[in-house]
Amino acid sequence: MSQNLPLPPIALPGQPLAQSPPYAAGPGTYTTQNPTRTVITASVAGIPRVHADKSVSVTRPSPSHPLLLLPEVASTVLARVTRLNPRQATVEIFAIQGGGDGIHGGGDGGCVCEHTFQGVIRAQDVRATEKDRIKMLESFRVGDVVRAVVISLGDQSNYYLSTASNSLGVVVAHSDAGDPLHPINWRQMACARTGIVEERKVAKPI
Amino acid sequence: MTDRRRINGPLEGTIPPVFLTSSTHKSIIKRSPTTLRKIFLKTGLTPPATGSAFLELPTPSTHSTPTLKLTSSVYGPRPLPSSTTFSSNARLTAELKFSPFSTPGRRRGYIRDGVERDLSAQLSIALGKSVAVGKYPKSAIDVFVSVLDCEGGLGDAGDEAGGGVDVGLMSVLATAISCASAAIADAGIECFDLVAGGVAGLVLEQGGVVEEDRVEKSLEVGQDSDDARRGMRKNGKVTLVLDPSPIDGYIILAAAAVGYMAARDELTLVWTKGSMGWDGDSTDEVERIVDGAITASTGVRLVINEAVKERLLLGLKEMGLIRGKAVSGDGDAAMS
Amino acid sequence: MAPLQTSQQTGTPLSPAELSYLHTSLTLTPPIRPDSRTPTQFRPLVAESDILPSTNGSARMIWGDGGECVVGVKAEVERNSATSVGPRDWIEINVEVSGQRDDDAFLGMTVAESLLVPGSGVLERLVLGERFHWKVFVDILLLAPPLSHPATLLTLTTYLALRNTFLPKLISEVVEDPVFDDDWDNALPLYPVGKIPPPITLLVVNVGENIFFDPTREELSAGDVVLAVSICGKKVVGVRTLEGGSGGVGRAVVKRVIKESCEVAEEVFSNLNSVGEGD
Repeated sequence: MSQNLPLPPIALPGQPLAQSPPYAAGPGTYTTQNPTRTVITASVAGIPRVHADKSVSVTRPSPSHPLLLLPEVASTVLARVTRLNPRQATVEIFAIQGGGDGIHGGGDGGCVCEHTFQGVIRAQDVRATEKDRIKMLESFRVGDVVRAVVISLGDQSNYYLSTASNSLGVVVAHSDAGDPLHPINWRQMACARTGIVEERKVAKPI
Repeated sequence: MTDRRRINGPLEGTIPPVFLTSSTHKSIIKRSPTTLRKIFLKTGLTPPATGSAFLELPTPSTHSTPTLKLTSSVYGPRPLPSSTTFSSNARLTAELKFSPFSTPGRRRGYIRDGVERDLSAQLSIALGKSVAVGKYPKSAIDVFVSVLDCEGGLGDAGDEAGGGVDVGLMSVLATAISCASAAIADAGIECFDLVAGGVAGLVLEQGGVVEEDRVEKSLEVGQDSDDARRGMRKNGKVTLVLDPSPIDGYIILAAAAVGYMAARDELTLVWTKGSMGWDGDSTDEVERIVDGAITASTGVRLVINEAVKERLLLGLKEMGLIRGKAVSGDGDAAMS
Repeated sequence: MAPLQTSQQTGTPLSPAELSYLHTSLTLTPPIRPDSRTPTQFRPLVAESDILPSTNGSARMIWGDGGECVVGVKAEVERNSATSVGPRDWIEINVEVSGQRDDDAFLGMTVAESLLVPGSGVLERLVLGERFHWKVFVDILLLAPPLSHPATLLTLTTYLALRNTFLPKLISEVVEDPVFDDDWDNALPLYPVGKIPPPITLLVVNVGENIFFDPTREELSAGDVVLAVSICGKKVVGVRTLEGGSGGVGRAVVKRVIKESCEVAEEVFSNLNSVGEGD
């Protein structure tokens, strides 16, 4: 990756980095419109980099803090189910795996959030097919950990999530007796000790 | 008669200690009007907070002279309580609080009074325009500034009035803005630019001897006190002083505190006190004071830059060099 | 470019599209205000003075958008005490907004700071001999808060009230206890004509290259910066940035705002001074 752009080793907020027509603004930067040109300016204190797709980003090395991520539309999250009713499941988002619109740039592994966010998975967003014949009790149980994708910022209290994809759904679950369950197929999980099979909307294991 | 059953005090009796009343704190070294005070600024000192900073203005004087010390912590972006309405921008709140032991004279109570509320409101105005709130929907960013030691000049009893404008609160606000901005940068919250605070004032100094009631008395001379003041200005020197301190003993005719974003050349806050002329006879005092305050804040901005860089380099060192990129710098940047 | 303020932050129920439309129309040359006023034109208002017979001075103003404010000034004789702060204590200003908690310290502070500016000469007129002084209480009652920021309404009404405040004339000697003339016609004005008048605060909003006075709430939320400029006679005695507006503002704009405020203030003063004459 050749850098034709002379970037400073450390960028501070407000420091201009590049011009916009050849380069694009990545996470950690913003653009200002001058009358003659558009300038990409750093918005956090960190290390500026140019990527292969000609986007300029500023990243912060922060060993002590998780990156400042908020759930964004199209970002993958991990959430724990807290309430269940026939029309929706209320979940608590505790980890964000990045891959959103790129406003914040999740990095490779995402992060565990300092504060949990409340979200909702509506019955019609649980799976892609036969949305009207879904039964919530056969998809989730309270206490399950699900991988979902954010479809909307929602309203004041909830983010809206969806598990309508093969890779989304229940990741960790426990049976009624308390034993851990492992996935069998996209709609069933079994307990290793007793052999009991329970129904969930299961995520395809990686 | 000695009493053997008890432990006795000295036979001659004791004399209660007599405390010297702290008279006017005159700094021994007089600063030139364009010299700013040295600033000590360090970020990342409060681990629980997302970002934090500590700022201290040392005064080269005796130990008993109060200085200005503040600490700032930033929490956020945190999710808003679900009772608040949806907002596509982050809600930034700033709170400034004086510790009870911060004033040199009487102890302040814990109760939040008008002064604190006013300064908190101004602080949130100054910071709110620099943070990119549109990037954090449905969240709250809380900034807390705690003044551990202020130099006086808050209008409490015991401060010398001198008939001039009180500039103590303005320096507190200006340094609070700088400290909070450093904390926001330390937190990694996206902002358009760092805000630095600066204060400048037009002072009246007549041969270095400052008499307390001279201003009031001479104002009674003549029909129009305003003319008399103007006339007096021609007699006494009126100079623009950057970063005036309440303990320097100046009589301040007018002062301005600004919050300035240096890279964008924009002001986020303007606060002036005292009367400034705009008529054609004297050079535009408003312009002089505002420009002076901006110059003072540019000096402070250099210190903030160094402090944030230093913290960043320290973080890089802890994690080792990243991806073979040679990060130059000795890690301990000297501060102005 | 900093994002335009959304309606949620200001409480004005304007959508982003409406704000953008308003912003554009205010940045034109010449600008177009929603109510077709010129940039320095105030909305029609009603002002009257001397309405409260039991006070030393009083005034009432009804603002263009329905805001109403009453100010009463009363004076008491007080003994000079060694423990008080000094002359700054002699004028006490109290702002009460009916129906709201006293959370906004801004209003009281703005008014107090501009009134107590050193060199205005008013504090000397409160001295009564060696041992006594007048203590002046200015009570500002905002009966109906205006939709835009109340600073201008408050200070204009306070100006009117103070301008019409009279203190009884002292007829005793300097060292005696104060005795006053019973004849109210001999009472002395607190702010005599020819001396420095009380201050007023003007609310100014800047949008692009244009400056507007007496802004409505919508104009406040669409503006770039809102400034409150306090003017006393020909001098600027205070400037404050207020909430509202997005992003920072250049220093040249600030200076222009202050300069134009001084010019507009002159007109405001002359109009206010004509209130009560010819009634």
